[in-house]
Amino acid sequence: MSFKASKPDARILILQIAVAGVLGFYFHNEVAVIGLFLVIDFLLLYWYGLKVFLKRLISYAVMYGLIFVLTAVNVPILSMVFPAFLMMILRAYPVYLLLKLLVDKAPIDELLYALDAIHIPKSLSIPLMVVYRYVPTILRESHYINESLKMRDLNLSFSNLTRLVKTLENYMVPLLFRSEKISEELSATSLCKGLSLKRKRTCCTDVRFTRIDFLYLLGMAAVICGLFTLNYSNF
Amino acid sequence: MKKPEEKIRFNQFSFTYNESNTFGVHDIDLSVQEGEFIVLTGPSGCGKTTLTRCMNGLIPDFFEGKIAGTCQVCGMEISEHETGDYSAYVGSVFQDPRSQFFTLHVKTEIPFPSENLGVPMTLIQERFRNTVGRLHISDLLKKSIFQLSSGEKQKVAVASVYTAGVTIYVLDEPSANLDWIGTEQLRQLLKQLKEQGCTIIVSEHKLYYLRELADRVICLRDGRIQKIFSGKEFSGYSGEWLYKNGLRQVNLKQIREESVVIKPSSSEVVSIRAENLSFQYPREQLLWGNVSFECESGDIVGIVGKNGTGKSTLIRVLMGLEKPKSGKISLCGKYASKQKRRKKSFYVMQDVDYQFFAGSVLNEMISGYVNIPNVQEQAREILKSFSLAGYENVHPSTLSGGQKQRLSIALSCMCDMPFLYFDEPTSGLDAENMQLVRETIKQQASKGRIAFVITHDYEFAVSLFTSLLIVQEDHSIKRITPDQYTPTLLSKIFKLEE
Repeated sequence: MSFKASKPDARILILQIAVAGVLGFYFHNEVAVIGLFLVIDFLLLYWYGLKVFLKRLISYAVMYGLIFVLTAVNVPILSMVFPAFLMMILRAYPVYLLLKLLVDKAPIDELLYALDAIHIPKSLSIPLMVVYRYVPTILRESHYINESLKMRDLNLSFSNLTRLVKTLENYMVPLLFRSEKISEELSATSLCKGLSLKRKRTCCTDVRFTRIDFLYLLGMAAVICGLFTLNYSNF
Repeated sequence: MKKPEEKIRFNQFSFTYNESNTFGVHDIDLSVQEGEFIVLTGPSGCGKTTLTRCMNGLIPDFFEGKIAGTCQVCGMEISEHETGDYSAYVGSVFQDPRSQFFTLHVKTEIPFPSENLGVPMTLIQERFRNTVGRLHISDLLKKSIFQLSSGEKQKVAVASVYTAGVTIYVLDEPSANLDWIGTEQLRQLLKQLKEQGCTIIVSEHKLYYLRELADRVICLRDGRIQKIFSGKEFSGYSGEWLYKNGLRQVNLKQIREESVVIKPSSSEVVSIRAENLSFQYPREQLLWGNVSFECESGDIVGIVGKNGTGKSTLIRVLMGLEKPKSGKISLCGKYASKQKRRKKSFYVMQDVDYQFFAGSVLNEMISGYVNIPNVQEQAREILKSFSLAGYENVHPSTLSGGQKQRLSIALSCMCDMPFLYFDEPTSGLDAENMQLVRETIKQQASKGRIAFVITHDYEFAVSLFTSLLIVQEDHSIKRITPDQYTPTLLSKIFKLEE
């Protein structure tokens, strides 16, 4: 049985989210923005394989294509509002991809330990971890609610379009009650399992910076330099 | 010989939740010794869960309320300590396996309590290896918690507290979501823990699997200890006595097998016919194939089979939530699309929380039928027959588990759907509610409806079904028609699974 900590360290995965967020909105040159996305998409190619790489690339290209079409063909209001909104999404897209990478690749116990090591208060890190645990659960819950609505013909469909607000209420009410129940149960579970603001946690794997992490950081620095060069170049 | 140490002590203990004046426990005097196996049982709302919450320290730290008397766990008074203070001594396993994990993978969940308690890394690793070996769970280590069966989830829940080195185990209805095999796995696990000298407290409705394990059985009613039996004494009580006291059966073999004959009163005969059905999830192997059968008015079809064989998928296909890979389904002799099937079906899900959308019980009942004359009177009448009178204006989500289950079945009486589908309708129900569900399904069938019921609960199934669909591991489904069906066949199937 191996007890190796996951690599790169969870702190690096958090750092790269922060860096991508700052760079995405800082860059004024579109080539640098695209470059940032491509670097992250290549990271996804390494972690998830070709299918995910292509899927993300296509979705990015479609968004770019939409901006291009909407600016070329002048549709009143839509051409004014939509491209700006899409541009925002394009700049935030790398952050979303890296967040997903963090959720999938960093084990929750290592993440908690890593956040503890960089002195992030537990009153912040524990609720963050609850959210992290909550997302996949709530996605499943909403799927079941949707099926139940379908069975009683209360789901959103063409025949129900006139009752949009009622349909939304039908969907939200059980979701909110389920959320409340799950959060109560999760909190009770975590307390019974000894999670506490006061107690110092340990980790069953050896979470610390190793040569791989330093190499990863070096690579990250090189990529950032390259992207800055692109941003200030005349492309 | 060393005298067993007292682990838990209730002394004239009473507790009432802040948000409710009725629920809680009253005048509890109880002492639990080291290594004892205690079963807490009684009808829904009798105070079992409240007692377990006292034992793991959730009361009064997490669930606040008024306390009278004293309750000490490992010598610590619960009113003076936080929940976390008990986590090094008491391990908890909850009813719902979905929300008792904090991490997303088995490998990270098992050491999680130990990490929270600050156990050094090397010691956690050593205990981890020990747990995996002793509980035989090495095949689960690579799985995500979403890939586990219910039985495996309970195993992982026990493994994580076992790794933390606790000696007291508090389990709240751990078998509620388990199938026959999962329950047997749980029984083996509890037996192992008992042999290792652990103190175990199980709050349960299903009693048969605890028969040879319990040292004492504590019957609760209305928040008070009604009687304390020795395990042996309790096993000797007749089935009739248990039913009279609102308890589930202890010895399933003693249950009388009764043939059910349903004579539909309605002149309109409905039928469902499946021809060469097969189903396969994308990128997965065939779940089942070449399925053909026909059912008519008054048939109560039991769907039985091991976990993961595709029982739930079968009813999802029949009611129109999934599209089969091949084959066709006809209702009353005519081909029926997914939408048509959905419009004629009513589904009672295993977890009824997903099924309530309205702001009150009465509105839930009449939702979709407001144009029918006297609908409110009809709804009130049905609610009364399900012992839900007086709850008309209450929000469905605030009802207790048993009441929610009764409401979901009451909804099926409200609608005029000819095809009813029930997925584990008795999970977590006490004897009285279980019988109520059974009688309602029979009543519905006698009105000419066809009911499909998935269950692992033999006690419930034995005098309910009129025919069977056996989902087998070789991807086939065997039909036992009403003419071929006998209750003895069902007992054979359940014994085979055992």
